[in-house]
Amino acid sequence: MPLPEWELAAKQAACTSCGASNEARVFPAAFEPRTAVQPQPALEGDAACFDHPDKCAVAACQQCGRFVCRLCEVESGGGVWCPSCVAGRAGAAAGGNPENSRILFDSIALITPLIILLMWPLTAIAGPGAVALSIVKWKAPLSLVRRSRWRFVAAIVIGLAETGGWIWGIAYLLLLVRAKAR
Amino acid sequence: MRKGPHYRKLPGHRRGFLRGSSMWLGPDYLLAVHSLRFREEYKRYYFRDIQAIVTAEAPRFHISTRFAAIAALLLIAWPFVLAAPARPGISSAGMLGGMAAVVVLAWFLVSGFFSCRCRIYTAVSCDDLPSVYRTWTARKFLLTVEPLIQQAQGSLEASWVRAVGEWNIGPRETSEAPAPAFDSPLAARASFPMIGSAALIASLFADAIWNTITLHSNERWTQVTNGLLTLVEAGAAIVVIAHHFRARPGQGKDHRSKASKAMQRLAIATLTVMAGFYYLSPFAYAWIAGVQASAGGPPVEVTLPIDPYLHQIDAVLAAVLGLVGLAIIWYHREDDSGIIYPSS
Repeated sequence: MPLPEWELAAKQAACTSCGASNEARVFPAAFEPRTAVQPQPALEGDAACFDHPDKCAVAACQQCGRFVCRLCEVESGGGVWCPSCVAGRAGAAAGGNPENSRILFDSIALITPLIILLMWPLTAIAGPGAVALSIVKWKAPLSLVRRSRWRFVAAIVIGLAETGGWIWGIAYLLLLVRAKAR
Repeated sequence: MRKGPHYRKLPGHRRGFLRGSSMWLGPDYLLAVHSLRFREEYKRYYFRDIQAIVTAEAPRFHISTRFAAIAALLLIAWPFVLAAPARPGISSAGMLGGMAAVVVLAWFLVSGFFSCRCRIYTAVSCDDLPSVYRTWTARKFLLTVEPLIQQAQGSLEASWVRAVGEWNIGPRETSEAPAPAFDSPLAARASFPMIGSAALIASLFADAIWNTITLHSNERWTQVTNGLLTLVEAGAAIVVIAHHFRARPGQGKDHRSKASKAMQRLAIATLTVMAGFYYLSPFAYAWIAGVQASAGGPPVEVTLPIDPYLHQIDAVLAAVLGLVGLAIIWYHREDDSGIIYPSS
């Protein structure tokens, strides 16, 4: 999508249609030539790409050793990898395929026992569940940008409180029933 | 032991009830984090690839969790103010109302006049940065990021503006014509839950009117009618949501009309408000009863002046939601494919 020229003429410009103020910061990457990668056809005796046998290989994957053409080579962290190793995050090729998402087990463990208070009878399951999840997933990777495990700690405290509440309630009822029976 | 790079938080954070968004500074890239409560999605913009960052003034009426917290605090203070003994010359309820009005007015002003949309361009993508939605945040964000990008790419020559006509910024436009959003006008019409939407909007207005008429009535039949109206609202909302998610064979998400998406959000909002009332009403009753009992010293007959207020709030919310529904139909009466929806 091309940027309208008026936005680029100055760092700040008003829209000619609605008058809204716009700020555009343009960087040299915008003017780099775009050239499509064209793998060379493989001649007889040339090493050929594993996935494209008619294309000339330019490198070997540093994880599995397969030959790759210009189209298939994935350069990352100073190495060259094949698409299969990058997609499978195999060994050092994982660096070419950084994580795009993570499940936040600490948030699940913390929020579930709190939300479930709205349907309090289910806390009999959610409380111990939160404690178990926190312990099982204690070492699971957290958010890429959040390092603290306080949510797990809070989840354990809340889960134990809910479980303790149930144990106390059941014990109290049993004592009550026993006292009445006497 | 820390694994992976260390990230530094950049200005701006969009905090929603279900979704959040923030920007972080990596070793040689910007990391956009989209939080979906139990899951985070990441997107990296390497400094060497960023072509442009554009911020455009635009109204952004986002209800953040902070704003919701302030509203909740005012709501919690409300029963205390109602139960407090009246003092001559000072109207506590008026003061609280004034504070609420100031908060709402400030939110409207900031959302309408000091908000923006920030977009980042690379050769293959053009993405909104949801966390940068206030003008002062955008300014701070650019001040932090611009030198780093210039450090990675260098700066442009003074004559670069003249070259602009020869270059396209952002992902290359394909020469192929975009696929039509709908197979046929009939398909477009079918993607809009007309009956469900009409039932939802009608029931919302009926609820608003009924609550206003029966503001001081506690008779059984008015409560039954109220319950029936609530059931109709819930049913219509569920029909709208189900219609939105029931993709036609061979059609993907993109084929759902914008009007259908907007109606789906309205239906979710309606269900959320209903659930809120269902759960919060007993709490409110208990709260005000407790406050009254404690204020009265010895056991007193607990009167609950809260009922008409709840009816009023219910009526106002239903009317607002109904008006939003009408606005959606009016705004999307001509969708992308040029189909005209009936405006009533």
